[in-house]
Amino acid sequence: MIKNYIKLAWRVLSRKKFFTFITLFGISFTLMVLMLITSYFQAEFGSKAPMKNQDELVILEYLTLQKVMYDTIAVVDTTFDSGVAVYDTTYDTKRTGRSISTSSFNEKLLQDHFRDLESIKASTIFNTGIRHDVFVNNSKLQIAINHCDAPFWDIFNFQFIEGRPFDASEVTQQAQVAVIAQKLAKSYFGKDKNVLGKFITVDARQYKVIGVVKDPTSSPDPIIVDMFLPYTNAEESYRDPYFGNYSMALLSDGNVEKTKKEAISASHDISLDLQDEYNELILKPVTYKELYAKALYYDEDPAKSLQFISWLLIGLLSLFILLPVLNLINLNVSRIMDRSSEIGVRKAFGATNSQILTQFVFENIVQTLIGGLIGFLLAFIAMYFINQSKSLGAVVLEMNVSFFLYSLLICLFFGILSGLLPALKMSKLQIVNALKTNQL
Amino acid sequence: MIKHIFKLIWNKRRSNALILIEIFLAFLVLFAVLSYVIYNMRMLSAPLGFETKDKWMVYLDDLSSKDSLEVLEMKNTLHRELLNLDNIESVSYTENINPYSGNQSRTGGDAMGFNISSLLAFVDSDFANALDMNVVQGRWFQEEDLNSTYPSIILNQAFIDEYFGGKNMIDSMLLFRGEHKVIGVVDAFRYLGEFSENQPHAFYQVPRHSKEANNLVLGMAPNTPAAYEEKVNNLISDITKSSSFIIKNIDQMKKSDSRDTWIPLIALLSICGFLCINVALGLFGVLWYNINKRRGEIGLRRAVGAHSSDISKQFIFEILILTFIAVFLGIFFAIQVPLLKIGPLEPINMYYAIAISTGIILTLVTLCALHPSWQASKLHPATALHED
Repeated sequence: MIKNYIKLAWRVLSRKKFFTFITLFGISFTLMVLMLITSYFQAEFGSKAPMKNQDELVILEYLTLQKVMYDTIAVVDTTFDSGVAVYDTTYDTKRTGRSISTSSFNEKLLQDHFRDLESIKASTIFNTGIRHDVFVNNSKLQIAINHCDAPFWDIFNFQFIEGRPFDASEVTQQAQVAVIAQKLAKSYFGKDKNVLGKFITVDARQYKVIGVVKDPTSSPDPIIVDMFLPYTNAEESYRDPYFGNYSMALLSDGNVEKTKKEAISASHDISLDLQDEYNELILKPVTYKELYAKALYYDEDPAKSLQFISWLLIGLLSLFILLPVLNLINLNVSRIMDRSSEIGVRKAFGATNSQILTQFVFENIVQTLIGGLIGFLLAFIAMYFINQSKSLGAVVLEMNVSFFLYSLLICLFFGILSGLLPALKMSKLQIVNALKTNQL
Repeated sequence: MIKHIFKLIWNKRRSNALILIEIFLAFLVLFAVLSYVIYNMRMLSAPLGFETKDKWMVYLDDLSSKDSLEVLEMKNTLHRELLNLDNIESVSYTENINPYSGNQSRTGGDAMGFNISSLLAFVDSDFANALDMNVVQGRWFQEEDLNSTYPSIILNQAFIDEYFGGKNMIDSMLLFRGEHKVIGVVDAFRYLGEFSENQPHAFYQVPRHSKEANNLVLGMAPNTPAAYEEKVNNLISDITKSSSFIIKNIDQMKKSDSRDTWIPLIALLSICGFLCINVALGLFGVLWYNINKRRGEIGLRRAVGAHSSDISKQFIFEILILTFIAVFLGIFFAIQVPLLKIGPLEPINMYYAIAISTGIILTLVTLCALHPSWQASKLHPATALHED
């Protein structure tokens, strides 16, 4: 039976070349774009090293200090109280201005206040702001450095190609050791394979390479750097008791909202006595996804940023799927009568409505799968060019089993969606009507 | 005629409804994408306010913990020695607000009696020269201004337009972060990038030797090779006794910054273009097919004396009326966005987007309808009626 259906579907496809072209063009291109989007999301939000813990992360990125100025205006006015003039003073307090300062944290502030929250499994501080120019073989190399502590390696589980991460004692001893990314190993040491134990000179200091990690394929700041150093090697450049160059990532024990609340209440204990410019301290802990959304659309409340971006994405995606689906439905519906004699004959020989329905949906799925295959090839080619041109920055698109399964799912969903309505209409055709209009 | 066409549309209301929804959705997609594109294109076409070609940035170490006198001497030496290099035409010290730094400093206050909120920059007297900024009124800072009774301030045109209705503010006093005398106006300073908003901006003067002004803008001679960087690097390293400063080419920063906007823009536009082609092809197919199905009707009309142009007119009108309904529906929904002030974009972008989307949809639909209806009009009554 299935063999028959496939045969039929193939016949239908090869009969009217122009319509087949329109159908396959729409299906394959739509599926290609959907596959690329899926692949992008997998790269950024898929559970893979070093971001396996991303859903449990709470990030303290910025601290905001603000001064809100209030002004009380006294208005003396004459009013009449039962015919007698009375002076009445009204006070109106309003916010007349505010000045805000936002920056990343002072290292000590983070260490003192957020290390022992109840609901976290681990916490790390890191400083990703530092870049150094190094000249190797007459060409400039810019090295991005992340100064971090030892728990960093537990929270961001990098894949080590060789060597090991630095540990807590090396951090406290201010050991001059470095973990470097594969790309830096290649550009700094050239084709040399054994880089462990070699030295990299940055800012007139020599760091011994103790580990090489695989380049991450997603884009968060703390992980796409070239080089990781114990943070004790960094000079804290700001002497401010609140602001500095550090951010913090907290690994929550499952309940990120609780961790966020704890972090906020911990921030209430920070005394503002060490300065006299500001009168309010604001901390907005964010999850990994919120951090991402915030960069795309800024709202004071990071949760709202995420909400806005999600809705925008869902809206655009569903429009994007709906249009080609409608297009296909339109084409299929108007071409029903082509097949009416076939339906008539099948029904006359006892085929039930559901059998006809299955046949046409099945045919459509075969069609979509062929389109999906073309789309898959197109996506493969597009991925190659996107990765080659590095147009997504550090993000590398790749194909894997789950990507293939997702694609298949998308194809089936698309096929059923676009085939159901025309098939329903066809299956409901009366035998007489079906046979009447066309000559056999 | 119109009544007749409405009846024809109503008779096939189910399949027509699907076409209507398709056009409606295509309109909404076009509207959303074009709003975003138009917004960015309008930003792109506005002046940046400074030159990026042959301009370099140098980011020195933090100087705040160093001895003031030491810093003063070092910075003066650096300024002099850099200017002595053949390929360097101008040197300026600035604080952390400079092209593509990504930093923002903003302040608000109502000392003038109304609320003013503006971006700030702290720069020296060579800044405009080093970046080739356009001073449209008055003049830029001079070293002597540091000694004048009132400190000077320079504003951008957006500041003047937003808070003073475009009046001439030169030599007026401005109460904004203290009393300042306005000495000049620049056309723009969109240092955050080609696609950033043109916001009010105020410039304050800092002395060259200020510890906070640890960034340098270098105006290079035209076509300075990239390899020249090593020479500059060595000189700075000798004078500052440090190697942890960074040199960057502003033009490259501009390119990589713009790329971050161009990539989603091009991706969106190509997806949108594909959707349009897809919808057009589908529509063409449906129309062609439907018109072929109506040979009997065409034959009859021709037989009773309708001209061939009447036939094509009928088919084009049919689809155009359907399109008009769909587009009106689309406009009705789309216009709610600027009217209710939803989303982050300025309304004007969306009005443009609505107009252009309407134009594109109508053109596409007409193009799709032309061929099938022309074919229908060429049908001879004899061949059309022959089969039945």
